Amino acid sequence: MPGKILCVAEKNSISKAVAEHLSGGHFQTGNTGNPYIKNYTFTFDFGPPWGSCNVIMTSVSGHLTSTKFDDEYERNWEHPPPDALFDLPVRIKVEDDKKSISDNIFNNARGARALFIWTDCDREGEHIGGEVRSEALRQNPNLEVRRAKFSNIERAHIIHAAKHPVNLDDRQIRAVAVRIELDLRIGYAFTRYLTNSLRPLGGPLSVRPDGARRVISFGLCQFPTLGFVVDRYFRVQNFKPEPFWSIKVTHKRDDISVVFNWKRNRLFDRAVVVILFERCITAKTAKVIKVQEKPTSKWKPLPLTTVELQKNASRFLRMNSHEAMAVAEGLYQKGFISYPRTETDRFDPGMNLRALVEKQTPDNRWGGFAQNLVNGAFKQPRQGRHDDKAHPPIHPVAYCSPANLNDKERRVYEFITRRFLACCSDDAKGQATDVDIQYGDEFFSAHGVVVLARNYLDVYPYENWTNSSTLPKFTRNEVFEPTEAMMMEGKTTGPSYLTEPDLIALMDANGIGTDATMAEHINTIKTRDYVFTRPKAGGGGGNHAPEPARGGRGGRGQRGRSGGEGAAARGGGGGVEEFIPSTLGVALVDGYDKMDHEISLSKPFLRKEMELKMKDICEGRLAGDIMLRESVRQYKRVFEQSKERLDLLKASCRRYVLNAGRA
Amino acid sequence: MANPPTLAQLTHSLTTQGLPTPHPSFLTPILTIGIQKKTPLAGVTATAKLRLLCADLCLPGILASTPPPSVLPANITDVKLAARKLDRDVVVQVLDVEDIGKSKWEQIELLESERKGETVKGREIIRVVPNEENQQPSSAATQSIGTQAAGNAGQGGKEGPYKLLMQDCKGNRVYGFELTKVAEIGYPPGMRIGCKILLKRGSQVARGMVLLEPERTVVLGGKIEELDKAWREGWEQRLREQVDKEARERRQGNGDEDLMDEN
Repeated sequence: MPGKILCVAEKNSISKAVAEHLSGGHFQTGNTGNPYIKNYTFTFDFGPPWGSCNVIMTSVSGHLTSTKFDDEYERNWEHPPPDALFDLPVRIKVEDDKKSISDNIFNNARGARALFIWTDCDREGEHIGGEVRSEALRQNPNLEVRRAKFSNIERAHIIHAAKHPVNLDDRQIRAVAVRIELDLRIGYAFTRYLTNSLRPLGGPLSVRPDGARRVISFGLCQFPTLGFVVDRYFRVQNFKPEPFWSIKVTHKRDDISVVFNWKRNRLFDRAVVVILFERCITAKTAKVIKVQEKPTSKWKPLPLTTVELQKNASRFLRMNSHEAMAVAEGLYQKGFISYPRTETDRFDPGMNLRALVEKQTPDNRWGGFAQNLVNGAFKQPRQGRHDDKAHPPIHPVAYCSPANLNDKERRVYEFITRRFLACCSDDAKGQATDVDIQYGDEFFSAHGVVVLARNYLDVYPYENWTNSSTLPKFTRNEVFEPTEAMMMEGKTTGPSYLTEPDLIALMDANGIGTDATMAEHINTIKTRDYVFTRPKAGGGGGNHAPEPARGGRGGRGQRGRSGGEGAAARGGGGGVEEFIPSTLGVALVDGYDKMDHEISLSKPFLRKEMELKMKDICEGRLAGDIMLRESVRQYKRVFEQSKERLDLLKASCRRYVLNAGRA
Repeated sequence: MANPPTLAQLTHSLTTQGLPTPHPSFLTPILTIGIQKKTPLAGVTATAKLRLLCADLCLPGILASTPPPSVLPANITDVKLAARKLDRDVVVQVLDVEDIGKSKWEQIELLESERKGETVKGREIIRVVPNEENQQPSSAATQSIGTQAAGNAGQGGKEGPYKLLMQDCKGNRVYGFELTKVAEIGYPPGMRIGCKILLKRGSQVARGMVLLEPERTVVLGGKIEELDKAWREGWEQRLREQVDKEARERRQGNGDEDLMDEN
């Protein structure tokens, strides 16, 4: 008699895709209490020890449970006092809107031999798997629980995952549970305290422009993210341009005008440059002291990570990171690309990349290039230094003709595919020439490159070898009189406001959020009216209108895993956006910086520490309870200090929000 | 045991190291204590050298009046002279130092982040390097933004050349700058204010500035404690004032269309 196996994915689209692959397209669809979640039934031969089984494949919709305080504490923001939230008991429970989902799992666990978890293979997915397990075991304590390990929705990969399940990783589950609890306690305590304390100041601190009551939220990731934006804003505002001087030598030979750049580049003292320039002129002739020709190459890009995808999306695909991730998520669910949330920039040597390249040969844009790789030009990709041990770099897993994609999907798929093909081809090759001369006391050099083989550049239009130019012949020890020498004057230019790629790079380098959540944090500080964005070039618009608020979320950094979320973050999508803090955003960061905590909340250090501790838990070096205790104690101390120095924060709010910048 | 060192011996062993001849009243107490403690000549010389390097050469009673100490030529700062050479050795002390390879604003930002403890190793505070570089659509460049910037912040990138304000023992001042890198010249605490430098005969001078080169510039070391302390304490403030002053002057030069910026 065949047994019954319950399979649960993280969202319905994955559940359906897996069902299609395992059943070979022959499955029955049943309704559940939730209109977006179906139960797919079919039979599948899992191989030993399970053999052929009846399968019910279903899904949850992101996290199944919420960590909450008791209702009486949830509702009232005045009582108990916010600092009590560090210690009050928390409960893990299924919210009403998820009840039908948990019931479905509970009911279908009855009589099952095993539960297979098909949630996404990352820390968050592991935790969701743990939630599903708890629910199923409540009904059927004898259930055997396994986990399918997969990183894309391609057929062979899915079937392999089904036949080789592993165990859930309880360390990862614990790490996420600790993070959720800390986010809740810290987020609630600070958000309530800030909101209660600042609303009485009135004006925009009390009500939002749309009439709703102002909530001044605090989150461990959103605050440092805001800190980066504010920090750059002040650097732009405070910048003072300064003049500098330099010497430029030009020599014309064989009809080529060669520019020799000053080794000192530029100096900030006019008198000194005048003296050096005069000594060049007095010397009359320059002498070639070095001629060097050597082969050079422009390296092909590294395999694609989430952060790189997001950065490139704003740069080349005319969409912000939030949109790009939503589109990539869709491509993944349709089985065209691998899992788009990954930190890994190296391919496992065992992966058959040639086969993946071959799938791209039908395309009329890059098919020829792919064919050429298949015919022998294939080169193993470069190996980056990051490996999250869960997912490979983002790559296409199946060919998809452009006709089957909408405009945004087409652009993202094209980028991912071109990037992948670039990774699998050769570096661009060229011949570089360097000529160094001495003129007076000063040294100058000219640099030329001749591109010999474009290689990956042919398929990757997002890069070019721009500084390539040919140099005429120069010989060592040759003396010549330069055609022209000029003293130039320039002025330093300040930094510009943070763009989304800059912000993502900063968050990434400082461990704020994960590749999976960065776009969310950026979105949060927008919806909280802490920052606004505007298209980079030209100050057009520049109105201080905040983003329209998106669905009301709790005051904590929850993972947006709601079914098919529409990611219309900003319409009209065009080019790179720059981030400017609102007066409220400036006031919060300025106020907290003035409080002079041992470790400022607007700086990334505290959050980074937490991220490292989570890693320690995952790798078995730290117990979850210890981290929880330590972190609660640490943030309690910061909270106490914030209370003592609240006046400083109020003063900043009055200054920036109420008095338009005047103290 | 050799005879106790004499004043003449001590003077001789100092001047052979390129130091100016100290005043007998400066050396006598050092010598007396040395003799009491039976310190050999080398030890007494070392003590006297250290004291001399940390003294303000312009004060009376530090340098001997006979032979008269070597001073800078009277017209050394004459900007009309395009090129000349020092016809003597002169010991000077440093009054001010400036890295003219960096904008003042960049230096202010470095000092500021140091003051805030943000460049401390192990904490990866990142400053994304100036725009032009970032916007280059090379992913190789963008993927290493973090490490690049962190590296720059830590070491302050390329240094110098430095421009120095120097003074001889009569208070005559002259500017000089590194024509080629002189290893010991830098910002305090690497080189302290009041540091003594021997400008050797043959040093090049152009338009009133000394061109410092390792062959003819001997950094003897030392400091003048009060000057050094005051210089370091006022460093960031001074840079800020200079930047503001230059900005104001430029505005006046340009007419007043920019006056609105003042607010």
